[in-house]
Amino acid sequence: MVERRIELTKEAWKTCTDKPSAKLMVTLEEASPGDLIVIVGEEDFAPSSMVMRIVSRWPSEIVDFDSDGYSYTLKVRRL
Amino acid sequence: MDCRVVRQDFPELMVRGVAYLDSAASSLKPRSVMEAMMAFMERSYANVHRGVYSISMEASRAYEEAHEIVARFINARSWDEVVFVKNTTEALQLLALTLAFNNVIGRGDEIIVTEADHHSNILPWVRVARMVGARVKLLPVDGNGIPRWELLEEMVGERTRVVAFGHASNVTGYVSDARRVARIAHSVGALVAVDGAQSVPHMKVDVRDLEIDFLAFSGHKMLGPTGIGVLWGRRDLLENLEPPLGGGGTVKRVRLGEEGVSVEWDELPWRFEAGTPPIVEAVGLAEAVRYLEKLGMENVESHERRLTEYTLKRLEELGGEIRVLGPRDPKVKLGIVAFNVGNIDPSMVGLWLDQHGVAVRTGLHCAHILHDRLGAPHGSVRASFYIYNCPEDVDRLADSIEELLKTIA
Repeated sequence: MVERRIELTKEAWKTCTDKPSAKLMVTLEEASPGDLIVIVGEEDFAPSSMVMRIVSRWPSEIVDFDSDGYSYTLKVRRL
Repeated sequence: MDCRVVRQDFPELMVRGVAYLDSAASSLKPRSVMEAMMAFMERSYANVHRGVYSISMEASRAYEEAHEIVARFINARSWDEVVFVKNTTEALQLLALTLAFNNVIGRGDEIIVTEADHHSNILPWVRVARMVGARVKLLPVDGNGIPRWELLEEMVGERTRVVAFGHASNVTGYVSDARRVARIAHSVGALVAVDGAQSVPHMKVDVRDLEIDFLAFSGHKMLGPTGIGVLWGRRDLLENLEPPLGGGGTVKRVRLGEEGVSVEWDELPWRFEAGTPPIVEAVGLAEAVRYLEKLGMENVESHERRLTEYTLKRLEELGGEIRVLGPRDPKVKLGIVAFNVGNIDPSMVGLWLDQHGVAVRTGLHCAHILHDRLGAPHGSVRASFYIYNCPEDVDRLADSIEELLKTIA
């Protein structure tokens, strides 16, 4: 099992080619069954409800969600 | 023009069933363009202007005819004013280098571009200016990202050599009054170069009517293949310029004499088309032009304006979370609508839309300065339209955004 970490934050958005959304899609696409994907995001930049809906398009389950209302950590296991 | 009939000519739409709203990046290709290229490769392909055998002559004729068709499309004075290059970016690079190479732009001279321009019309001039010791001045934009052309008369002067600008913005879709700009630039003896990447595919562009000197555009944004673009220039200007790129196909004769290698440059446009040119791509572009001419550019433009108007209306109905960048008056813009959903990363919105069968461009669209000026440093979501888009595509876009707003509420 591999743990993969993605940041969906303004800080992570460095250049016009380094898109967090592309990393999210590629990570979900390339993850093997059992891999844990840890998504750290900001609600105004990448709302967690939106990210959960996007993630649900891949075979996956949410194993943990922690939020302070501004930042959140979402743990997803790829099935 | 019936978009539902037009759509039938685009196999990718039939196969993928997607709402393709990214034609400002690259258009889809009609079946006739693919067939023309395939037929040429199957029957008539050879290098051009190099052989006397019949197939090479046939290929040369097709390649020359493509110049004629493109010249007619933009109302050029003659076919040899049309230079085939790789794309708009390369066309503008070639132009900037040519003007510097021939000392049209030199130390202390000034080049004017705008803050609204695509990098393809900023970076070539910035680099050439650095190379020769000239200076690039950027005409500012207003709060809607519209170039403040009313300031141009104050900006131009006796050192202004070139005024280069995007005819239609690839972010806001705003169409600048090229003739007005040309007249101001010409009043001080400056040349006028127009980036037509977003205008030529979508509206009638008549180089003589606009009174411009140079025009650059890409084949792949106007139903043609990738790998071919156009640099058009006034014949009286081009024929007095030496090409910065030398090589096969550019010369009449090269001699070695006591003073070294001497070159006799070929006629226009060949002297500017160094190396084996994009032959098959030219055949494809010619077919693309024929397709657009059959539809009529006035019909293309009015169709896209209707879609733009409808898009603006649908997005406005979604409420204040949607911020459209640029003017909201469809009469002053072409079929491009860039927007943001609150502060959400545009590329996340793009991913959301992809999952709802809508293809849009997200990010800074190679217009970083303009996005900074518009207060959108992380970019925008851009929907752009073409002949094969119908109101249903706009509905799918707006419905998907509405669903997103409900999800994050």
